[in-house]
Amino acid sequence: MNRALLRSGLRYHRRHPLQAALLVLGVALGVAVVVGIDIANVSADRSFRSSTNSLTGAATHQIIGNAQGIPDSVFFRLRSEEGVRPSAPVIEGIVQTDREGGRTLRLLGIDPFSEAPFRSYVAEGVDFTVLQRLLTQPHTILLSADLAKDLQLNAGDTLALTRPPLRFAAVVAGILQPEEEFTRRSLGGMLVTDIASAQEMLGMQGYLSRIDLLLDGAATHDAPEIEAMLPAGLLLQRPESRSSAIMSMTDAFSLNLTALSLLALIVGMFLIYDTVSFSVVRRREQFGILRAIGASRKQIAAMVLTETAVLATVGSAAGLILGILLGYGALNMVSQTISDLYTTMTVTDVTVSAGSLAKGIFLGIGASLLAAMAPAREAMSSNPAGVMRRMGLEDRLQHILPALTMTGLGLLVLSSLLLLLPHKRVDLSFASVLLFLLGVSLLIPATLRIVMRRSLPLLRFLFGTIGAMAARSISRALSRTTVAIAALMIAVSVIVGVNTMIGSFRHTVVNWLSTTLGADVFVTIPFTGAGQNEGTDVALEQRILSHPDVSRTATARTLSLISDRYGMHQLVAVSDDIASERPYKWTRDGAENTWEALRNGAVLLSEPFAYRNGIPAEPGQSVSLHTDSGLRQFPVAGIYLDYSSDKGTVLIDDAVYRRYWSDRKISSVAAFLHPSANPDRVAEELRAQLGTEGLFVVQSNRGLRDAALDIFDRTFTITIALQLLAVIVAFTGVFSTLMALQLERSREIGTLRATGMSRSQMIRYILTETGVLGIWSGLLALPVGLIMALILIFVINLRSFGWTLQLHVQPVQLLEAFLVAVLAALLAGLYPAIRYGRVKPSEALRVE
Amino acid sequence: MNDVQHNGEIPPVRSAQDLVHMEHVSRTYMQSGTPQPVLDRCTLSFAEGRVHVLLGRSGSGKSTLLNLLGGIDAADSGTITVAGRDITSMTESELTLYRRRDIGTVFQFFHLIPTLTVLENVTLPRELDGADLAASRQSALALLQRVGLDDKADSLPETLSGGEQQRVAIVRALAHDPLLVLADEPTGNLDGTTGETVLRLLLELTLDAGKTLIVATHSHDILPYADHVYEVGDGSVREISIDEVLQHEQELQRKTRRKQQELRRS
Repeated sequence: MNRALLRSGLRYHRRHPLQAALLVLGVALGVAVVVGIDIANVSADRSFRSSTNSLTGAATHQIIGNAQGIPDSVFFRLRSEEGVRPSAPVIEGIVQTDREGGRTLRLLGIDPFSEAPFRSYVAEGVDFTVLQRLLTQPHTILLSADLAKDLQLNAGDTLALTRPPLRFAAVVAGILQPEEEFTRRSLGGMLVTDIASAQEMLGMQGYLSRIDLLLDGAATHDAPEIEAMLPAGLLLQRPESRSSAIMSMTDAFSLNLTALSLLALIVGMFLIYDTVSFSVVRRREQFGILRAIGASRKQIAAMVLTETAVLATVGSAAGLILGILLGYGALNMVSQTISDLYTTMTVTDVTVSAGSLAKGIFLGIGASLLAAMAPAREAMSSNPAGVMRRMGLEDRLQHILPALTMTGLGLLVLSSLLLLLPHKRVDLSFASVLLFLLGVSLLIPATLRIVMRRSLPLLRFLFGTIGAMAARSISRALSRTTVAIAALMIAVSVIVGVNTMIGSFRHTVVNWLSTTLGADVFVTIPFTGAGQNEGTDVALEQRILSHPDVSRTATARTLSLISDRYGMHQLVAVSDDIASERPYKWTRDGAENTWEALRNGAVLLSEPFAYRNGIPAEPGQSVSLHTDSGLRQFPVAGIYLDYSSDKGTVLIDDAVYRRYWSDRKISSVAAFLHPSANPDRVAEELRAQLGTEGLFVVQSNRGLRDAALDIFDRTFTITIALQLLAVIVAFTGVFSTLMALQLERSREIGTLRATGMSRSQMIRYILTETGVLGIWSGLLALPVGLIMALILIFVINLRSFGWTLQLHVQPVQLLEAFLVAVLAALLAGLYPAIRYGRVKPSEALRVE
Repeated sequence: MNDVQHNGEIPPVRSAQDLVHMEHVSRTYMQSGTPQPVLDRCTLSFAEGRVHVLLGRSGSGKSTLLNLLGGIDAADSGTITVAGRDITSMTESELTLYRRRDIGTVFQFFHLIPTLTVLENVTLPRELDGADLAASRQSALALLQRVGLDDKADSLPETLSGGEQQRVAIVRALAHDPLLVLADEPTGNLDGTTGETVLRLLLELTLDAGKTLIVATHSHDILPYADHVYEVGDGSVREISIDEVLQHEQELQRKTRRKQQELRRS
């Protein structure tokens, strides 16, 4: 790169700081969104690993059981009788503290003497007297120095822990000082206690959560030998398969976020393209002189690209800082959603990885250079001294218009092909949305020209000569107006698309809730986070039945399971169907006979379960479940619509469940009331009757519905936030495009003012023009947004989560989106309009 | 960045006297759909180390001729050889190099790069060529001193008067030691006295360096210094003597007086 040229280029930008600032802003916002989301995703991923993985320590295998865990006698037999070593018993569960607004922590119960090979930090981190205290005194805990600081605890202090219906005052026996970063991080959300205390505090007397094994060369047994020793119902698993099952669930979620964040970057590219091409158009004469005195085409192009790269670097750096801040906010939303839906996260540390930052810088500069490519070509083709045929950007655009239109159509075809191909890839589906948007954008210049020609008489009729002038000036500057319309159109169509998708989703869920939640009052154990299998005694059902207004009840036992075959899923055992009219996607024996089939040992699959595991809607299907008496096949009686979880659910009859599983607990009771009863009053009475300790959550039908919708809305908070950010980037782009469009016409405006155009006429002229652009963008955005909604609903949602949703379009939302487009365009025209109104004709006429 | 390469050595000049030779050169522009021949099969030569003046009304083709010689416009047919090299058959990158090394141009509107200082403007052609900056800076400063602008070396062009800007442009045209200096109405945008100074400097510097100068103008101030004068118009370029020019001018004066008298009488 020639230094004199670069100096000249950078000085140009120093003289036009507003343009440079817009470019920097475009890059910064785009990079910030990408980096923010990446940080949130990476942090959530790391936090998730910290929350769960490190608990497994060095274990290569784990023995796991079903709902209740593993009887601790299994461990004693394995260790004392069979001599399996190294092996360690583990109990883990979620508890809630009364500090930091009821922070949830993971309680890990261990046997300090078997620990050393697995979690050395426990055995080595504290001295013997502390360990002794932990073993001999009940409810004593160890915690890391970091966590102790967070919770303001010292050795000897007490900490109230709740695990409904249990409540304990735990005493801090000692503080762990792990040296390793990863361990320190994992311990940030964890309390350690001994096995006996953990069993008591988690209500798991006689049971373990799992047994950790280290089956390497030095171990006493190998995997097949261990498997042979296990009683029916217990499984030997690798710890990775557990976490990867959970990861694969959160993958779709984070991919959706990444796609949205990339959208912000792409919209930012419009802004960059625009700023760079504006600066090129303004300097065309200068480039001509440079060419005349011997600058080569490559030198000119390199000049434009290098100055863009310099500004993009500044923008990317600013974007990184902004992105890190954004990451903090986004992580909270992401981890909240993961905790709500998939697994409880006890650690939420922001990890700013070098990878995220490098990605931001790379994408920021890369996208800028890509966006600057066309303007750089334009600069390159500047004729020496500008004396030869002046084939400007506009002429060239006219020239390549057919090719552009054909490419646009080609992209649309390619996009449809990508959608129609039978695959489950969500990334390809997003790519097709992108191609679709790009294709539509390429069709804008051709359609805009036709529309402007057609609407010229109307504009003339409405606004006189000024209207006709506005229409022609849009057609004359197609290369710039197209970009403005495309940016605005994409922004507004994203609003339409995402809002329609969320609206349809919500509408579907509301409908589904009203048909599925047929009971009047629901009693459940408090939610301590997804993935928890706590239950309560069946006696609860009798207590509820004893209320005079309750006519009948149904119970449900909900288990969160992870299996090699089906990944993360739920097993729900129900004593009766509580749905007033359960919506089925398919039934084997007809809807009316389905419940009978369940009683005879068949199961129902939720739609996401069937989709995820590729189980077709046809007779003869079955699923294999790990029962307490070993692996068993259950025939499938039907597939039902279910929006409560994308993990996938297997619905089984309660009696069948109790036959094959030794679990006796229930998770919730649904009560049907006599027609005359008032659900809210009954709920109130049951609440009083069942205790004030917060052991149970009693909700009326409406209350439960509201709670479900709360979680739904929380899940989409980040989507809406991201969409807003993309829209902000787009509007910045539109603003700058429209402003640049007007500002570069100062000569024309000067002539008009000199010829006698008044200030108000000038304002009307500019606002007519930008208003028409806004109207056209808005009109275009509606169908494009609706098509995007269709793709999101019927392809991406299905492929990400396996849900069939009903399209639900809200006309008011469409109208709002349209008005947003027009308003944004008018606002963008306002500044130049006012500015030119003030400028004296002689000044505007002066050559810049 | 040095993306353009010389292709071999410069062959010997065809005629010892002629630096530039044009043969059957035509250039036609399309004007609102109809072809307008500006140069029609023109054949002529420009001798080395001399001052050549192109006269003609505006639109007569003077600038077109300069653009063709300067390698910023291409002839439709015919050949132009400069120092024995056929510039009409050069590729775009060869032309770029030709402009950068062999041509110095002075424009009517100065055309300095507003975002470069005076010194940077002057050294730009050398810098584009990847030459040693310190050396070109020295010679550029020496030239700037000759035009009395060495104290403005670090100023931006916009702080200079029109005459000063054109003096910088002259220095820029010569600083890289070109074969041929082209000037398109160099005084056209300056007042009389300033124009005269600029013209004198242009001639002085060019002749001192032994360069060939081709000036397109419709001002007659330069005629005393011209070695050759050409009339450009109606698609042709014709060499004329200074006497012819003066005769032509006297005729014009007589005509004007007659017209004035007629107008007064009526």
